[in-house]
Amino acid sequence: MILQQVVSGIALGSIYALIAVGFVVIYKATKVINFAQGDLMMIGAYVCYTLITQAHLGFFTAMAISTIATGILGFLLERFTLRPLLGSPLFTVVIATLAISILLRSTATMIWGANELHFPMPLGEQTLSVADINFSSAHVFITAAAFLIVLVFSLFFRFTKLGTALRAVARNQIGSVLSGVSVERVFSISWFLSAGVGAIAGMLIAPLTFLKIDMGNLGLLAIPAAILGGFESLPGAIVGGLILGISENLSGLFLPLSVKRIFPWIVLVLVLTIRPEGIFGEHKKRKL
Amino acid sequence: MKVLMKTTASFALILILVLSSLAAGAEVGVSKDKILVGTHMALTGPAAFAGKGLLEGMKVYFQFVNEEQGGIHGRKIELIAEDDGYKPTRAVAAVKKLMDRDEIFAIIEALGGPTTKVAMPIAQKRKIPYLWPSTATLAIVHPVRRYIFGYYTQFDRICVGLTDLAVKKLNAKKIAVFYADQEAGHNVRDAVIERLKKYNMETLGNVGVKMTDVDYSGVVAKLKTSGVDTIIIATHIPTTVAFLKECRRQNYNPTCLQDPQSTDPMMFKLAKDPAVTNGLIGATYMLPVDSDAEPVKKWREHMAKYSKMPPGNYSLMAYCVTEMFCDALKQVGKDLTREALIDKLETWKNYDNGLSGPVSYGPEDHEGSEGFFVVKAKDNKWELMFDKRVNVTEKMDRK
Repeated sequence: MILQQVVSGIALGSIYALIAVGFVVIYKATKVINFAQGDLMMIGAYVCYTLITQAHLGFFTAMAISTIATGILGFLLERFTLRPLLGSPLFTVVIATLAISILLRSTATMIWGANELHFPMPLGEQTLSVADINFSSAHVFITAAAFLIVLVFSLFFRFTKLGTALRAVARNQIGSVLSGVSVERVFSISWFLSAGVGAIAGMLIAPLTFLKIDMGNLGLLAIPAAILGGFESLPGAIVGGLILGISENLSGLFLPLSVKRIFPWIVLVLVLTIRPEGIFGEHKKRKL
Repeated sequence: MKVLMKTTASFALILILVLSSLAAGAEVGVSKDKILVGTHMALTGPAAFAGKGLLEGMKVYFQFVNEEQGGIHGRKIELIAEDDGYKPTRAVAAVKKLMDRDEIFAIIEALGGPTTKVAMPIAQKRKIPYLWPSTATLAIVHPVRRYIFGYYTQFDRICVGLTDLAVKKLNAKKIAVFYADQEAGHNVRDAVIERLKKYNMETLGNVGVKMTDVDYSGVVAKLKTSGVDTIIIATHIPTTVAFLKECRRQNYNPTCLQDPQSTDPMMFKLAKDPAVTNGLIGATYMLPVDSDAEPVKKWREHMAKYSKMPPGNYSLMAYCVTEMFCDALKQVGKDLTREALIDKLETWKNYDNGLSGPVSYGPEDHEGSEGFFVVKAKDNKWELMFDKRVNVTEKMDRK
């Protein structure tokens, strides 16, 4: 029973982690919490659905096209709505991401309507059973994808020139400019990557939550996972997501559902009380 | 002299205006050749699937009446729909717009408990008929207000019927309620708890869920280990489907009965696999959409003729109510006034258009329907479980 809940918690935590990765990618480069991340996820899923049902493409082809298309949308949003705000207070930029969120939701409602839709599972809908523990093929797929994406992005940030540039801009914009890094280009690329990874998350999660306009609300549930992991750490997103998923599920077993719902936030407060920078966050000391 | 002429001219002008308005029709929203009817519902947002279905059902019936019957007593009906997004603040703005700017005659088939609860007092205050909102919110019919009429069977009656069915016919021993954590869901939970007292039983491990919840594995595991054999469900379709899928994943097969809000063919579209929904028992206000009953067949024909939307429960509900409205207007006659309409409705005894069940009203009774059909999901279809409607006519204990 407890083991079953742990396995279900890993699946739930992977969902959180997958969404949290999108938050982390953009925060790592721009120091902005993108409140439209959940909605980019939703757009990616809808584009994929349209390609499958209207253009009759296979799931993985549709997924690839949708990832790139949503990435381009993220790139354009940065170019035309956030670029003019470069140098503005952080608060202004965060509010702008909220505006983008509303814009994306309204546009999606106009295009696809407000009805929930059935989204196909990439590998079919099967229940797997190992030693009396049941889990669905979708959960396996999400967990594997979350780990794979984190691995790819971790390698990208650590070993590629572009990844280094993204990290440099996040650490010191002026220093990066003086070193020849184009801050504008880095911002655009981080939005492209973040929107793309958001789209992947949306396409993997939609079979579980159904395809709906407000599926972006899930993004808010993933923020504690990102904070818990340190907000700048990709492995931290995975660990944060898993801690929350498992603890939330176990709390649901022993405590009332109303407590289960606030449990991620309780865990978050507890961890931040002990480690304010998050589990994988960098502890920064300042001289006064 | 000039002043006298001006005054006379002004009076004459006012007289002409007054007389011409009297000639056109004595009631607001009613002219020589037109009756203006309003409605408000969610046409955007999560509840839009219901709002759009309702609106389509109304449009289809009005189009049928206008085109094939030449309107009612020579007057065509024009429908003005406002999108309130299922938000009370927008609902208030919507009804005020309908009443002040559009000057409608009556409001019919508005959608939602929270929205109609705030809109209804405005209609009552202005003496505008506010008929048959698509909600089973008790406040609509209790206490009785002259201009407000309910139609849909109240949740407490449905819960009494479902609980009796579970205990008496389905041999339920341990019952839990899986409900949306909001007013309508609470009403269902409380009504089931209350009814079970009659059988010296208690609910076990009730679960209130939010629309944002995505994972029900813990909930299902808990119900399973508690030995719950029967679950009464009162949630929206996506939540119900996700819950049923999780039950199936955990090899947990309780008897599930649900209130009318999810008993719609849309459930099968979301679930896709019939194994998820097979055996699910649902309460429904209307006959199943694919019923062979003549009135349902007529509705399907009209939907095919006048609409591109596939037939669904919500459009059937609105079609039924719109037919009731048109029948009432016909009965009132050519001299249509709001007061005459209300007086006529209060005389209705066992009105039945064959889509739902009989409905009666009186000066002290605006509740409407007191029964529901029981259907069972089989291979992505709702099939009638019993031929007869379940009627719960006993007096309800409402404080």
